[in-house]
Amino acid sequence: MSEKPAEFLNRELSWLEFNQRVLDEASDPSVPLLEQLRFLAITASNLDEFFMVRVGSLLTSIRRGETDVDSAGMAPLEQLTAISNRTLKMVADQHRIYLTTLEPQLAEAGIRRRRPHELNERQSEIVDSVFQEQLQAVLAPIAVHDPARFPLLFGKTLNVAVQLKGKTPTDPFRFAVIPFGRFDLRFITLPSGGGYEFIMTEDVIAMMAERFFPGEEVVSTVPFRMTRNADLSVSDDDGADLLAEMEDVLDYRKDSFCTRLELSDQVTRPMMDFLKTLLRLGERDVYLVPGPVGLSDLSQLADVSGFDLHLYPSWTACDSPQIEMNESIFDAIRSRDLLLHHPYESFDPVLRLLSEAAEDRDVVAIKQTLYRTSRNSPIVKALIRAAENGKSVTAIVELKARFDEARNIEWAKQLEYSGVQVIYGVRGLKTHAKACIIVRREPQGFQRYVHFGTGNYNEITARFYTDISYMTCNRELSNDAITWFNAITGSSQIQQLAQLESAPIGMREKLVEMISVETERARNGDQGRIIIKLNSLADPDMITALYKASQAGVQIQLNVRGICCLRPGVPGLSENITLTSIIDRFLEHARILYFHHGGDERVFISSADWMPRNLDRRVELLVPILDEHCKRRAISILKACLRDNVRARRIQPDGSSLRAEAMPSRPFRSQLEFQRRAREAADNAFERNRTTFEPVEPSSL
Amino acid sequence: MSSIDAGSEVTRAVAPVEPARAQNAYPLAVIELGTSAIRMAIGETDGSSGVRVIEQLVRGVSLGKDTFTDREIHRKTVQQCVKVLKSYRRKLNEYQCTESSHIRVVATSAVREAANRLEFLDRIYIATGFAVELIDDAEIARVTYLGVRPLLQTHPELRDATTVVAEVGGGNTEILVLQGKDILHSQPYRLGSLRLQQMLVKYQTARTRAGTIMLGQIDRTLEPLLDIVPSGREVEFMALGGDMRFAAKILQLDVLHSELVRISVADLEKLTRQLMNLTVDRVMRKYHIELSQAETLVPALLANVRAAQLLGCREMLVTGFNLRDALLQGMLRSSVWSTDFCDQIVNSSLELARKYQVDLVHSQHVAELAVQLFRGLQSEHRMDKRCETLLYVAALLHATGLFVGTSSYHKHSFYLIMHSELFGLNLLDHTLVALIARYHRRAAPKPTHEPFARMDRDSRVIVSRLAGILRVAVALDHSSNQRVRDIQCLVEKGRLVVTVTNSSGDLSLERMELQQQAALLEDTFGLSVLLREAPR
Repeated sequence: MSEKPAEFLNRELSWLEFNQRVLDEASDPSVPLLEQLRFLAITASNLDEFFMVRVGSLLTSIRRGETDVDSAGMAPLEQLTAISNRTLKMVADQHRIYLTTLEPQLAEAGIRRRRPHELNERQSEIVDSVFQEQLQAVLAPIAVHDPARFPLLFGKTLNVAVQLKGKTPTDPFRFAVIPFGRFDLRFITLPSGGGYEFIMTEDVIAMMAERFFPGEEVVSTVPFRMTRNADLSVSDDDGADLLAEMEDVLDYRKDSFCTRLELSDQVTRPMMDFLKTLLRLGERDVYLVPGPVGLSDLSQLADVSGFDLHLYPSWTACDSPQIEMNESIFDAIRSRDLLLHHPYESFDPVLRLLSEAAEDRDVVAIKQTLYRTSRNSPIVKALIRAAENGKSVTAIVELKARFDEARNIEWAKQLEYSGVQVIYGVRGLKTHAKACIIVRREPQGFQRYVHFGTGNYNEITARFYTDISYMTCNRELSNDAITWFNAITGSSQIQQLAQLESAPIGMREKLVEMISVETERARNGDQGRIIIKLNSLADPDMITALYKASQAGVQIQLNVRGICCLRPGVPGLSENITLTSIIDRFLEHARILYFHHGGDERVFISSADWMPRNLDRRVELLVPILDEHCKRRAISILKACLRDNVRARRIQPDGSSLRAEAMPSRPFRSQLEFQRRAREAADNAFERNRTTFEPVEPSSL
Repeated sequence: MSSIDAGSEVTRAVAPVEPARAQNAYPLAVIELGTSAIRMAIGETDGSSGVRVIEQLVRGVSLGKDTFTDREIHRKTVQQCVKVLKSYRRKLNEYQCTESSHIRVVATSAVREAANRLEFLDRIYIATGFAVELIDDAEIARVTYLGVRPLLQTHPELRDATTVVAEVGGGNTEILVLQGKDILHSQPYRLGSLRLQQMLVKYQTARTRAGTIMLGQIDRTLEPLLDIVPSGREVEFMALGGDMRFAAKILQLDVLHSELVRISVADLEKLTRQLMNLTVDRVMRKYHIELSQAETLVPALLANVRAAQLLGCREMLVTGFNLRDALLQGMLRSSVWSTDFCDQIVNSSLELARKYQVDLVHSQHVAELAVQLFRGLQSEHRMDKRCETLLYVAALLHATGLFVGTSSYHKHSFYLIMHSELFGLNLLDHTLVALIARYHRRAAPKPTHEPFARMDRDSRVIVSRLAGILRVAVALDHSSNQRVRDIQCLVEKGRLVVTVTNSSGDLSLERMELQQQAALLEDTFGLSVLLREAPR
């Protein structure tokens, strides 16, 4: 691996810049008010995860004494310092936006936070009642005698620390903690003459803390919240029970070390020292905030009903005009490959594929990967129904999908109980690829229907993540899919694939080869062009290949939502590379790759980002779009993303970003355009159908 | 067979066929227990238009390593095989492929040469229900020929060329020498990638010397091949097997999408040298292959490179053909014992007959007469094309024993045939030919004759009946001057009436000979033999 530190941006700092772009949305007046609030909550939730995983990982490295530099030339301690500095500024910005912009505007819009001293009589009565019936009944203060023996405090939950006066004037202060644990009442609704009024639970606790400690004097209370390290993984030793190990990891995660403490800046010095001792934290790990801790909870406020005016207009995914409502999904796929663009187009065809397969008597087998899915997943239900109907169903449930482990363990057990053959991922690798294969017996012989996706099999996230579904029964693709599935389920060794590429086997090589082909063409004076849409680009080898291509004259347009360690537009290094990032209403999640290939354009979709973890330590798929119509559509999606001059930011060589155009004369917002296209196509299909009347004969009832 | 299955030849390796016809499509499967892996190909067919391969699986096992080092299959390996075969059974159930007649399970040299093969086969049968069939080199040669034959027909440059087809397997290297589409020579050579690799392990050879030692072994083993390939003629070298497909892929040649690709021998040699300088671990990591594949890759490529060099080839041809696809096609009865295929068996027999200086004019004439008799007696014996071919081949070779001496030469014929290579015949058919030839004179088959007694009842009946026919045919050319050429056979009133329709002169000599030689036919068919001349 060639590592040229100056050529790469640090991955963590790049991620923080991504979070800054999300935060920019929270302060953008063109974004509806409650959506701004939601963006703010997202940045806080993102930071939680960042501290749990990335900072947790860095702290672990430092504890182990590791000093290896990353591709940007930064040692772990150096990275941690830079992260800390950048985060301090970001956290300050978050609270500034909340306190000085959003809270006043929300109040103006009718969503008002009340402080204890602002409560009217009726509101005070309600608060008193809630305190007695809920808070006092559920919450239990714990006096701290010996910090070393203090019970476990969960990460990402609210706690209130209480400083109590000593029994005698000479006794030192005493401390107690009121942990909220799983109790998640953060906003107590108050009666009001109009709009929505609330008081925050920690304000109520502060107001009534003495009721928890009868006969004692409360000196101060302070809410705090911490994040714990979640960068834990199962060992990959042979013979270990992965399911049991994963359950152990989840237990261990509960009391792993703290990576951050969020604390109100109203904290007294003795209280802060107490908490630092209790949680074994240094000065750098403490983030003092002027507003509420745990801003991620603000997403609950964004969902308060009655304020639709301050939300994006509601969007219901359109039916794809490629699929007739009364047509079997199998017939539809057999007649043509289908490419769906979610959430503009409905995810229903994917659900229908599984649902029809479960009931279809000619379906003999279903093979499915599951990385993250919804709570009451219709996909899982369909798999269970299929198994109960006697079909051979194999599901790869990735137990190591971070933060979804518990849910996946639950699904895995349910599926197994129903007769589904469950494979708990692949040892040493995370199965991140999204594929579903249906084997159906048809008059012409066995036919395989395949769904490839860039997103998870989750109908809920499919409503607000932009993703691509590609459904086909192309013989080469379906043969490859079967061969690949056999390999990852251990039914067979990996064999050469005709069309698909899979990580960690050949995807990296294939991508480098595709870039090299463009590079060679450009060197020979021919046109070379690459368009890449990803969530993250951090792999040094891939970036180096892109740099070389740029230097040879290949025009490279990158559209990367999140982390990007590549420096675009640097003379002599990457002057032919432009990099944009779209942050908008829907989470940009599709991975689409385009290579000009001398005019014989090649388009792929993929489950993988270009990060070492995806290309080397995950099972991923790179799927060529073979159908010409689908290919043209994928290209038009890419081009629309590149045209965006409203929600797209142009990333600068130092990783910072600017609006694509400060004042676009012809504004083009890609997500609105995709909504328009989807609606227009659905309307046209509806109009077409309306001109044909199909009588329902009695025999067909 | 091949130690690396680099090709998911699912759509193309089998000779192209139209999709199976509606309604009657049913699944078929072939499982091959090879030297380093157990492979399964599942196909579907409507029973008439060929087989479309729909799924291929491969799981590594160390059968060859056990057999070629310790002469027997270890218990752990047996358990591995059971586990793999059980998982394959589940896969077959998925496709509702459960009829035993639709599943063929074969094992090659690693099982065939194991001392405990019978225990192994029983254990597999009990644990999985699969009856494993040991296929011999002759059958491998047969299916290989059937597999490459379409290529010979569709590629003009091969139509009249001398083509050496080689597949370096784990245990043996199967070699076919073809002139156009005709077989000149077919023989397995005891040269296998796993054998070579095990030899290096056994003698703890340093990596720096491994190449030299392997080359020496390859040269020694392939030396006889040079006497067989016509000298002074340009030879095409066609290398089969997963290792070669894998090498082609590394060399950026896509075997998946074309039937044949040409590889420069120099390029392949360069690649082999590069691979030789890497550790097995490095090869595994670099090319993402299994240990068992990585271990035998270099020996297999080296054997191919060397064979091509010995034959003076600068390029070699690589194809997507594999054994399982060919066996799948072979499961459709119609594709076996075709006229073309039988012709190749006869060609190979003629080569052998020439080698032992047989009077070909006489033996070919006897063979023709024997076939006429066979067809005349069809209503009595109801035997098929296979038996007709065995009879023809036995007739061609019945006098090979004269090469050794005149005394009891029929026994020499048996010995020589049994120990010679005959293309296209499996062990059973090969033995039948040898026995039919052996019983063309003197004593009739007896239970005390051990090789005969070892045969099952059906085979014994075949030997007796065909030997009975052969004796009559030999008697009809007792003069060795082909006086009796055209005959008509009629079964009537418990007699086989043989009418000579060509003008042949006095038939006394033949009648006398028939009196002695027709007894076996009379005993086995219950027919006396009457020789008549056609009215003039």
